[in-house]
Amino acid sequence: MKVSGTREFAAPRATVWEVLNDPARLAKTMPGVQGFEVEDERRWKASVKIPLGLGGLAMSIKFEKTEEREPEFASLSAKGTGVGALMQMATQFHLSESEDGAGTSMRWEADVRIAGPVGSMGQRVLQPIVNQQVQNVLAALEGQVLEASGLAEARGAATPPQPSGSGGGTAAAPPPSLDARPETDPELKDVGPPAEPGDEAEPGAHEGTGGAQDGLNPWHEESYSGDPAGPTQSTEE
Amino acid sequence: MTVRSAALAAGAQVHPRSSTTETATEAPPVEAPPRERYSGQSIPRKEDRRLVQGQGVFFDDLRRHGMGYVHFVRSPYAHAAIAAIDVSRAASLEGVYGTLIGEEVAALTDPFFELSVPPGSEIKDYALAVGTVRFVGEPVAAVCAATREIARDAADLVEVEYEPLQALVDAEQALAPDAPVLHEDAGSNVVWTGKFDWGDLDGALAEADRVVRIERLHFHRFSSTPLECSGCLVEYERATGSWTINCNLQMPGVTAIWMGPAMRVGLDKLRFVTHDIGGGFGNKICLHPYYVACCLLARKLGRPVQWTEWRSDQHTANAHGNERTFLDVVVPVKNDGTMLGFGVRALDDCGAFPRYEPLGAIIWAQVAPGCYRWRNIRVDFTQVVTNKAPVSPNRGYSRMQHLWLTERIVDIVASELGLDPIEVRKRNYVRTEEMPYETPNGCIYDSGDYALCLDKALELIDHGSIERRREEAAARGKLLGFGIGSTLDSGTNNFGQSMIMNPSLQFSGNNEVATVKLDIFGELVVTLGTVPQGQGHETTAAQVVADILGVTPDDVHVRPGHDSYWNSHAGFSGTYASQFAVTGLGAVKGATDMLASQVKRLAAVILGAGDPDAIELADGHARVRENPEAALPFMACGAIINANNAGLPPELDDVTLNCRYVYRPPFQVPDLERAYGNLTLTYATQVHACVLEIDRETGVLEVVDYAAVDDCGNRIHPQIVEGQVHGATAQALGAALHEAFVYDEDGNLLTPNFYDYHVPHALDMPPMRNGYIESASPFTPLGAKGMGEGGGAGIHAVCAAIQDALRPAGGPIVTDSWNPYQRVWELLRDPAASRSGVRVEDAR
Repeated sequence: MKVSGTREFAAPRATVWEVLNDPARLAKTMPGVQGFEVEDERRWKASVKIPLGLGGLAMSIKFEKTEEREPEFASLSAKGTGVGALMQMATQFHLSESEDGAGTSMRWEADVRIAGPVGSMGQRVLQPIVNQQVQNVLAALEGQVLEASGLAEARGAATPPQPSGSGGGTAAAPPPSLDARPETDPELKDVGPPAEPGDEAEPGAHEGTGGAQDGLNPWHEESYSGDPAGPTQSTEE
Repeated sequence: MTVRSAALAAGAQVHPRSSTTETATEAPPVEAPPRERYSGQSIPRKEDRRLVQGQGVFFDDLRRHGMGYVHFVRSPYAHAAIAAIDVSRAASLEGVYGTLIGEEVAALTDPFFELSVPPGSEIKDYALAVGTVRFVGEPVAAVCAATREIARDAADLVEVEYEPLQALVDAEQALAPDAPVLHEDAGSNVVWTGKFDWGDLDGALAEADRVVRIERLHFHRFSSTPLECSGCLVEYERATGSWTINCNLQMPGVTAIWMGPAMRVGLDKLRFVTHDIGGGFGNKICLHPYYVACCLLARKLGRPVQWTEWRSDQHTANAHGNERTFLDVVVPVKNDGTMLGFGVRALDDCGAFPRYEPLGAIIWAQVAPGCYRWRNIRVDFTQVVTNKAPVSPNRGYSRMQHLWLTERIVDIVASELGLDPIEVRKRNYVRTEEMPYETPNGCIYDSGDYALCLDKALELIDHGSIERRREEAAARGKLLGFGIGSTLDSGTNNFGQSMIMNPSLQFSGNNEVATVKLDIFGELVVTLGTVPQGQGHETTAAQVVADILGVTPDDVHVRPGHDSYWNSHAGFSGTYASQFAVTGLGAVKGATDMLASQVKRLAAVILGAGDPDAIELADGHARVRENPEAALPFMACGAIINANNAGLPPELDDVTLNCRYVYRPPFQVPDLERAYGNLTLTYATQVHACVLEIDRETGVLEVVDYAAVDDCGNRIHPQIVEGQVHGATAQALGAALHEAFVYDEDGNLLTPNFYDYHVPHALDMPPMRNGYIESASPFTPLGAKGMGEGGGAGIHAVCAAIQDALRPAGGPIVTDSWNPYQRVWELLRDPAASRSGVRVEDAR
């Protein structure tokens, strides 16, 4: 799913660049961020709860800056994993000074791929959600840019509220457990330690003279030759 | 020598051909049958008492001490490289017994045998994904734990690092030079490609008055939905190195041939046991990857393991039906509507792995000309892989797609030439007086009367009133349409057709086994090589045995289910491809005839009758025909042979009263050069007629009247036959209107559940009228034909009725087998778009 757009900021390009390259500030722009950890200047991790479905979709997302050309271009890749969904995103930002020189124009594009059962909901369901989240991110980004340029208070613009798990149009319901509890079968209570992998040379496993032990298939013409060798080679040999 | 006289000379049992009985519009009443004749009666099914009382035993009902539950970790991506798999968090969860990943599978097993020639033969298919995933839902790892819930939770803890690759979801794109290649070993997305050319299509095109060209027709991807998902309970016996696989497999004979060499164990180490099975439809043929994974886990963990497939996994990733696109269809036609044949490029999409494929690339040839007398047929067939779930034979396998094409050809030609589709069918149908009829590719249609079936369908649906009903509907703002679908349900495969696809395959003929014994207390016990999934084999086998031995079906115990240790079976054993009435019951009849002969010989000695022919079997006795007072009860026969046999004369040395018979249909290996030969033994017929109404504004449609006429030769149990016709109709209506596996460009399945994939239920079924004729097969032991796969008729009847209804709305042409409301609406909105791919050329 590809989304793109252009956003104007009333701040110098250097300020916008600074915000886009500051993981801590960037984190504040993302929906439902619950935790954030910087690994190094190119890589950081976030755990988020995307407002999708009952209770939200918890994901852990790894970010990596893939390319930058200060102060005009940056690209970022993100990989997220969660129960029922895998997310991959590649984004690019192009920054240019607005004509009067005071503002910055940001052209951005993102290619979002969602796999897993959530992905199966398909574009018709996900597109509006992605669009809405993008708008939230951009609004939050604007707040961060304004804050960074010291103009936030002067213009009376507060940082837009963070979208939370109850945002995005879903009801704030406690997450119900979808997992049934284990049956109380007394026979199954004694779980025991995980079994060790057995010795593959089982007694009796190699007795007999059938072709199957040699990997021979009766449908294969090899089986009709005087000295058949299996049509597929054993990886044991 | 004609085909017919050759068949007769070869000793084929002759039954009256096309002995037509009256149409029954209601289920025949269950009543006391005439004495000694149970075949042909709808006796109460032996299976039903336990099934309706909830006492059936399914594999999931079984428990073993200390058994673990398996859950598969599945790919969320349609196409991705597996960078790493970490099972440590899952393995450390309390209650987890162990895990299995693709690397272990690759070390412990060999890839499954591929049926194709190169490039398809080079594909490496293992029980779990090795290195790459190729469809959403592909098993990547397996977790085994103390409960299902723990296994499922633990599966979520398996960390798989994927590197997504470009997905391929379109068969036509699979051939593009820049398409991603799914299987590097094969080096191509093509599994198999071949050209078939029977008769002289070029000559026919020159002879034709007109040539109709159809650019593109598309048969969509769907599947059948068994009530019971797949699964197994596997026990490993360390002492003998063997596995017992309690399962719901349809075709254990062939599965064993796949599993044994891959696991490098003899087939006697793999014991397949089935119990009651909740429907198969072909979904339960290609379960070998899952079963191998479970066998490896049972051995690794030293405990029984149980796997029950989740419904969403069954739906997403088990087995879909083949999707097929027909390109550049060309049809030479005479002005009177006589068609001389057709040519087509067929492109088949088998999903990510061939498994049972590319058999589907040849199976359609069983019905190459459909129901028609067409002598010139050219098919250029290519099968490709895509990043979708693998296919397996789905009810109507491969013939359904092709028969839909032949029916579409008839209706499109009729509408373009302004002819009546009924008249065009009758003009082109193979005629009853031509039976047995040899098709241009050497298949022999054994018997039938297609025109009579059509007439019966028209009568049932009151075809004479259609124009009046059309006007009435128009007054209500509805478009009423009427359509026909006729189909052949070819049954009893000659697997020699696989050699046309791959000449080096040593795979031909067919066989099935049954045993019948008379035991010490006089019990009659029957075992079958087949694996019933609801088809009523216990009942029909008992009918056949009862008629031969002069007992009642209640006296005959047919062991439920199948156990490959104790049920004698053969390489092709199983229940698939419309054949039980021929192969299964043929084996039962053969074994029972043997037993009857032994009982007569024994009784002749004991009763002093001399000649065994003087003995008749009736009322549970062997008695002297001329002196019924001289009679030996069956129990006495069983007791003498089993427990009181001192002093028996040597001529009875071979009498064991335990008889095994292998039924082997009279097949030859086809002429591989010409792709010519008899590919199936019997051809049942179904003709369906559909009346529907379409809302002009919204495209919403409703089937308002429906008739299906079946001809499967002699019917052993009419009610079971009728149930199969109902089932085929439900399959057809679901497929034609609702059911489709739709993928997005990334290979995500967009219809992964019953909300988006509507399976028809009772309330979706229209009022149904059923009729039948019986054209006994001259080639089978009971004059019966296999049946149950006539759904293709219904899919087409709906397509034809939609096209007929839309004639006043711009005359769009139905080019897809799937026509949900939104597509009907599109046809209403832009009829010209669908017409642009069809044109009629004046050939003269």
